Amino acid sequence: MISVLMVAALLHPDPPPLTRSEFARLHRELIPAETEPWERVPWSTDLMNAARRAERKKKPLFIWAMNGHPLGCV
Amino acid sequence: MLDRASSFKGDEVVRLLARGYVPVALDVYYHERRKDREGALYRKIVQQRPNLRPGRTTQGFYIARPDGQLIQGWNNRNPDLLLKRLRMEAKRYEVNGARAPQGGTPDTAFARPVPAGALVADVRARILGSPWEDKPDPWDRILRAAVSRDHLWITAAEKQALLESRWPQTLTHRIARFHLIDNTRGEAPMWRSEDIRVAEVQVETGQDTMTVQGRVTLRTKDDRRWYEASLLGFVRADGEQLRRFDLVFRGQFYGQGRWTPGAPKRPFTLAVAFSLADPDAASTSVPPQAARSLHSYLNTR
Repeated sequence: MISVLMVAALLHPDPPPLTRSEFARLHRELIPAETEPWERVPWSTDLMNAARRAERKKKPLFIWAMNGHPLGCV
Repeated sequence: MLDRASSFKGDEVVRLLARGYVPVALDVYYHERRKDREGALYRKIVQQRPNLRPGRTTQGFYIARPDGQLIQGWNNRNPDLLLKRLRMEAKRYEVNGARAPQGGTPDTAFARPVPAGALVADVRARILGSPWEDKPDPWDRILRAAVSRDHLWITAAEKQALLESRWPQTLTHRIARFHLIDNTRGEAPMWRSEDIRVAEVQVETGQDTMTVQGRVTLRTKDDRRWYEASLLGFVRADGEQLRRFDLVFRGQFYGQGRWTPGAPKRPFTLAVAFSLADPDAASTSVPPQAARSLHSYLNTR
């Protein structure tokens, strides 16, 4: 029984705890302070509002449509 | 989401979109289904796209008039093609009196406003290191460095608990089930309640900051997908406002989903980070991916 538990522990050991410095590095890496170029585009998320604005501003609509919201998902 | 980095690179694309167009970003899941004028306008536009086969995804790029007449529509990530078409159509667009549809009641079955009193946190995931054994092609290279994006909704009741230096169990389960996923290559499968084998969170209350530590073990019944990770985070309240909600999970992930092929063959390190979203950013209104099943998402145990 003990050996079975040891094998299980070797296969699936508890994940090592995160240190504060690892936390800081990973958080900075995944959620950087600077924005990417596409984030500077003044995206709307409401097509009807965008169409009304396009009419007012006399500009065409540009639609970016994805499975999973382009600005928030995946 | 690879298209963000690959298609919208370069200042000219950003400038063209900001000055020459009214840019809008949509999730086709909702817009293909909405039974209101918003959905009708979307379907009117996309159904004019040449060679769009019935039943196939309508995702892609579209240039259209405000009345819904399509000018260009394509589903190709080529950044040069995008730039060329943006330049061309901005130049030759003629003001033609096209009127946008008016009025109508939103289809509440598919409306996903941020719940009253809730907070939104950004969620980002990334595979760390280079755990792939095969050599990447250029597309793989982009995929393998991708950082996924999603939002977490923290309900009003959960926010109140955090303000009182209590960590709500419902938040642990929502994060575990719906946000500790490898969605770096696309729409990833989430976890069932029974897949949560371990989800432990301990808090230590300091002078003004709550330190959050914990671990999770998530595992499908057939063992084909799992994640074992540690948590460290910091939550800070200031009166009735939550000023900080920074979490990082890091651990070993294994497996992939139908829409996320190409995972490393062996277990790999996945990190998932959380931070309060900018309340003024347009993207903050985008619902969590898992909020498509709104009841399941909000009613965690």
